[in-house]
Amino acid sequence: MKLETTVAGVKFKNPVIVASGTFGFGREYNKFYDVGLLGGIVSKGITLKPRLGNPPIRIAETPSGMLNSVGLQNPGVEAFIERELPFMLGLNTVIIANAAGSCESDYVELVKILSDTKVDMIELNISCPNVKAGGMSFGVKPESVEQIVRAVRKVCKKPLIVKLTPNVSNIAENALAAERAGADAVSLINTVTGMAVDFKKRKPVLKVGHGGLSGPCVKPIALKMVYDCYKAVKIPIIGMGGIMTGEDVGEFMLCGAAAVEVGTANIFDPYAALNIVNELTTLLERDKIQDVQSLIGGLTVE
Amino acid sequence: MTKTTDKYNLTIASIEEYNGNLYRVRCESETPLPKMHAGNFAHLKVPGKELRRPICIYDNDKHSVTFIIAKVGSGTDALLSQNVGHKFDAILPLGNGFPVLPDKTNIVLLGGGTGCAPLLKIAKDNPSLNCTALLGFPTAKVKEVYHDDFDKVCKKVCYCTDDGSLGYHGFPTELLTEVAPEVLYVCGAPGMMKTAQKFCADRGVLGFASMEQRMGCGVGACLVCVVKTVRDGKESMLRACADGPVFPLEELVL
Repeated sequence: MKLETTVAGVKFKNPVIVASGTFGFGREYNKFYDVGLLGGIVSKGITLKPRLGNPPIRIAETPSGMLNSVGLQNPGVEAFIERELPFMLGLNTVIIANAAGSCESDYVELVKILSDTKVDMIELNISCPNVKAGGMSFGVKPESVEQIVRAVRKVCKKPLIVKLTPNVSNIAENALAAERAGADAVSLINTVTGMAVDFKKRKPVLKVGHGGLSGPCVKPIALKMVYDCYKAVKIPIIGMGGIMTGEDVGEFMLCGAAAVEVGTANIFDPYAALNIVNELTTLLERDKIQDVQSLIGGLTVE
Repeated sequence: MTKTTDKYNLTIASIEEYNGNLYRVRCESETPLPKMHAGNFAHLKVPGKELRRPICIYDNDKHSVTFIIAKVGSGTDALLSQNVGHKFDAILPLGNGFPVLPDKTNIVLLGGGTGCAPLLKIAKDNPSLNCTALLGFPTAKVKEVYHDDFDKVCKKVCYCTDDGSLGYHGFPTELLTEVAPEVLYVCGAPGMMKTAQKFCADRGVLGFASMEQRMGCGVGACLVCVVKTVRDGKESMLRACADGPVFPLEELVL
């Protein structure tokens, strides 16, 4: 039975990657289990300079999910390379750096720096809904997706994944724009913008007013978007959005994902990603599926 | 790899209600529980909720842990509506805990309401500290959730109530000058924290505060539960779950 999958020429021991912003740099969860058992780890979103992020409250529970408004708090690329990357590279799994910025030159400079490190891949974050400048604003219009990816592609020496936002009119067009501009893969979906309201206080629960919705509540949206993109592009897709079980992974792969990212589940339970790998293994054995990659795009639509 | 912090299965062994919204919940574990320090917390799975709820360790032994929980929202409501025998899991112990300074002798535990809970273990686990507890409550009934636990382990306990129904009629912070501590441990409402911070700054007293923040993962990965601090003029957003919940009082931006 084969659990291995390949995305943009990079081999993963299994299709379960942990998503940016939910796994730090791997240190915390490595105290609970060997995170080298996972397919890959995407770092916390990294920017050129350190960022303090948004003021708290940064989280709100919502039906079958949660909102966050962390706002890309991170130590900056220099500290990432000095303090976090050496640890990550010793984890025996695929390491993906999530790169974020507030203007085109920041993205280019950052990707240039990350290209000279030993990270396996770079995930371009043009879909963070929680920052005032940049972030999602680069990822909404297909033309701006194409422009930023083209600029980054010129300096990027690593396989380049472009992480797409669902807060758009037609995500397949944005995936196509990324593909045209030279992306090696797309990952989707980032969070859906949303609000939670404290009725008694007559205020939003989140200090900055709104945030990004994630968890099982967004899974149907994510499945459809992965399916739509799979029909549109030739580059591989990393699917994500509310994955909580091994069967969820299978569903995303049937819709066209070559691998998946697990995010919010890690926040609900520290063992979640490992449990999902184990569940997927059991599922393949149960259904006598010899190769997990045989699931990719295997959905039958009447 | 030796692991102490892990997920443990707990069963509610007793649940006592006080004053309508305050609960003393004792839980048992078949698996021996790890060592826990004063100021540590547990991240509790709540029925019907995805996000866990962080609750401080009030008291514990090899096979049990006791929490003092206020019913403040739908999460605590869901947990506190359960009966004896309810099983759930908890990640514990989490957080840094209160630093204990054995060479100091005049120690004050300053607590307000449910904020008294993390302070008990400081005195209980360190009898040589001779702690004085200054504990504030809106009314006498609220104090009852703590039984006479503080009286058993502290050198002196001053109960203070807003309505004068027990002990000193006023805020416990008003008694700080009289006790003149070398070290202050505080957990309570923002007003109490601010007064304690000013007291410590004015008199050069070493102070530590246990902070509360809406939390995500509880283990330091998601950067949700941050607390604003300033150290050597540098502003930081530190994680209540992993860098705290206990912070030097002088570094907190309250």
